[in-house]
Amino acid sequence: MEFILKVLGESRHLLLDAAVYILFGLVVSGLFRVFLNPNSIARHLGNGRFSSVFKAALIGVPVPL
Amino acid sequence: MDSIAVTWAMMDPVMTVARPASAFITAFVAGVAENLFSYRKGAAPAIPDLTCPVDGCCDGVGCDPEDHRNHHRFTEKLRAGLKFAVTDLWGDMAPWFFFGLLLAGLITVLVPEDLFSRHLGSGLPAMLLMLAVGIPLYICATASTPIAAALILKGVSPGAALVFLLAGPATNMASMTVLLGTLGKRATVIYLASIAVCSVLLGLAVDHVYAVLGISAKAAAGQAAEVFPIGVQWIAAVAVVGISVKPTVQKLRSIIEKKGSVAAASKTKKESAAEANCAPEAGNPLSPRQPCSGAT
Repeated sequence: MEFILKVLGESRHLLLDAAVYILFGLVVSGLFRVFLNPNSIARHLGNGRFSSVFKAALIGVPVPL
Repeated sequence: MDSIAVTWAMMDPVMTVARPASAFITAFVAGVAENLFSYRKGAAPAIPDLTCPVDGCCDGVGCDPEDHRNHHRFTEKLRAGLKFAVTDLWGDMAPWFFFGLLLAGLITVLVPEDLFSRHLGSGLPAMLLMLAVGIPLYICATASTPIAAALILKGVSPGAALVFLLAGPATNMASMTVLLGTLGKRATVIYLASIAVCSVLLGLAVDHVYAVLGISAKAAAGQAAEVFPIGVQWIAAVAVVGISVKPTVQKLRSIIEKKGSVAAASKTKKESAAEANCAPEAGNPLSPRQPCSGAT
């Protein structure tokens, strides 16, 4: 019983830590969906084994997640 | 960004440079591995879906995107984007996320805190142990920094600490369950393998750099300030739970239906009812937790 409470407490703690970032991520991806032109994304990231990944990794590092 | 700042504050310049550089290399290798292993030669390049994301009023083929550009107002677009994020994106992720959250809580309770300081030194075994701990652990880049600093103070090699810094935030049980759901088993295995190999190699490299430079890692262990005030965290948590209840209940219901068996169904239904009671509970600071745990 106490064990279950402890686990739930830890889960709640983790949820608190993560929640702001989840919302931030959802808002940003929602904005991507409506405001970015799918054509330009496909041009930059859609093909190529290396260049697309390089660009994506470079963009990803400063994103505060 | 913030984690780079915290690394600077709590560790030394070598780590401050090594950390983002390693993060970039790891991400690059994982991405390339993903593309190499699942690259289909001659496969048609992905055809972007040009259908109007707001209300599908235009399919992007029969009408010129230029004409459509100013069709919808800014607020309309904003609302459509947020609706997509909450219902479609989070709808897929929420059940996985809460499953991972419970798993992560379980691990946090079961893994003793002194495990770190007692069994981790330097060299390959230490790094492998760091991987084993860091991969399932649910920890963000900023939060892992004080732990790594404390580890270095206790005599763990900076390379092993870097393995923890890379594997800790990059992977956890929650994100792995989400990855399994969104990208599939194969991609998840490739992702994990790339991160494991990269972080260990980079950890060994950083230890080598320290040895060549003849310096020992300095660390100022302390508690990094919480990034967000607790009130903001609670509000966000309540919002996340709020948008998660519906997809989670739906997912549980579909699992029950798949099982079919009457006995199993009645049992799981009880659990899902408890879960449904639990969900808003977890986000509400005022309500007592007793009824929820009692149901469980």
